Amino acid sequence: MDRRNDYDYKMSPLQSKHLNGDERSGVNYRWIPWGRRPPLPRDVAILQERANKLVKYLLVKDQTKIPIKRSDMLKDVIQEYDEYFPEIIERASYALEKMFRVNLKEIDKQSSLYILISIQESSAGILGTTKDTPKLGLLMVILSVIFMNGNKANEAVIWEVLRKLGLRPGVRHSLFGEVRKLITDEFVKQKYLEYKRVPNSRPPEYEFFWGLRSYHETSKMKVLKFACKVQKKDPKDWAAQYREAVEMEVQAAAVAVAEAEARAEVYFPCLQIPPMNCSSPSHGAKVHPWNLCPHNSLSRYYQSAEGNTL
Amino acid sequence: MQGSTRRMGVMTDVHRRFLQLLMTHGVLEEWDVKRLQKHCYKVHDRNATVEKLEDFINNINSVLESLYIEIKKGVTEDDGRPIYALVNLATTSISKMASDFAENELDLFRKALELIIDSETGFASSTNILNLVDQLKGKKMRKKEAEHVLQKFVQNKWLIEKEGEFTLHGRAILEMEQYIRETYPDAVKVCNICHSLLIQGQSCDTCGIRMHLPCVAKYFQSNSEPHCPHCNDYWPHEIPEVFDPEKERDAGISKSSKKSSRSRQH
Repeated sequence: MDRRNDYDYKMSPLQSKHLNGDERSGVNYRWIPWGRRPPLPRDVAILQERANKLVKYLLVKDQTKIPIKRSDMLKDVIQEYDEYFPEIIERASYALEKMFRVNLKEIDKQSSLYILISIQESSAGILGTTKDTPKLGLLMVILSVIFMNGNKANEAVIWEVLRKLGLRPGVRHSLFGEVRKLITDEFVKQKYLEYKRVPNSRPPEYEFFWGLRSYHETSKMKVLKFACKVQKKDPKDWAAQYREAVEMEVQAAAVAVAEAEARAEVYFPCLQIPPMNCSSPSHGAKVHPWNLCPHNSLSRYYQSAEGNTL
Repeated sequence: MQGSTRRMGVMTDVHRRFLQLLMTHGVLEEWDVKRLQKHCYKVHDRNATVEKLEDFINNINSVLESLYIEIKKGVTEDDGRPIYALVNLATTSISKMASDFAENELDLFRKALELIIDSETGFASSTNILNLVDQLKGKKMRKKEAEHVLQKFVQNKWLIEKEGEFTLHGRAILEMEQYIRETYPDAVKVCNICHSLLIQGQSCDTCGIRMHLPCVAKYFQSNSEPHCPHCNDYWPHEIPEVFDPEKERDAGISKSSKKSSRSRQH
């Protein structure tokens, strides 16, 4: 009987998912491909120790919401065991899921950036607000403006909306600080928003897009519902956005299923999972980051907005 | 875990949600913790009996053991309220405190901490802290900016502010007690009753021993003539009341509406 709390399992690194179907079936363990010596028992304990350190490191670093660089992880925690990085990060990922119900997600393959996302439906408002609630509320407003505007919004449009909330650029707010810095700098660093110059604009104009983290932490459907609630409309009144939101949900659901199957194969290798269509691009490989993972931060605000008006 | 004799508890989704929410808030009072626990059961396992809080937390802690973190229970220094926070078992130095603070901000905290520890009352005035702004490591910080940083510490529950003076939040004491005792062994004050770190408390005018306010309350409970436990001299200070959660609930005082001018630890 597999004791999930016992980390002494033989696990192959993520690379070995590329093994073909024959090697998968009927074998209890996924062996590490040739060219890499299997870790000795002593090494396993060290890898686990590094993984545990990495878990704490990630939990602390994630507090800022600024994506964590792989290079920082290697420098600060993994250090001399960098060749075992895939194994260490997989163990850390597992511990994060099993203990804290958060997913470690790579949101940017080129720059190897990672974020933590809560797996579960949020428990919004159970104990009132936290210090982050106002900022996330503001973010929700901006995300909805961007989405309803066709997935991008000119800076001028955003400020029009913010002015209605009593927020002005250059004026320090008690909750948000300097709002312009918050939305063009802080939210951008945290990957909630993207702030890009409109090409060929003179004088330079800028526009906002959803950031990678926003795609992970909330969904277009949620944002649509939020906008509808504020405007007292039905989501179907905005047909184009509704269609788009539904399509995203379907895609995200497919991705979630694929991910779950991939993980089940890794952690329960003795299970005979009916082989998926191996030509499917999502099988085994790192799936597309878009995922219907309701997150504590944004959905927490959203849910508390259910109860109160904005 | 290999060869460990302690039986490791099992974490269910109830425990995980609890842990995640506790982490989100940083520190919670016992009443909120109980509410939180009930909520987590309601979400995931309606029919199960709610485990006793102590066992529930021990369960979680046994799983977290390998990470050297645990949910720790403490008591607020000013009015004896039980609080809970997730803390590092390994010594937490200031740099590990949180990563959303810049080098100069952490150094500001360090300076404030030193003033607090050295002070007689356990409080450091805003003025004294701000006067040290020129000595900070890292980027130069103006006093105005330092004021905002101090407010950030209050919001993040590392410091408490009371009438322009700052002291350590119960959370900071829970998290950093070991670090403080190791780093400032000569300056540190300790409670004569519970032997834990003491920041705020009462002291004997004669022999100088100190006690936490909640420790005073418990020690001298229903004693009409309190005497110093060390030198037996008359204890000159007002004896506070022992914290009674039942009384507070009955009085129907909600956190937000309490009119007390004392700042609250939330």
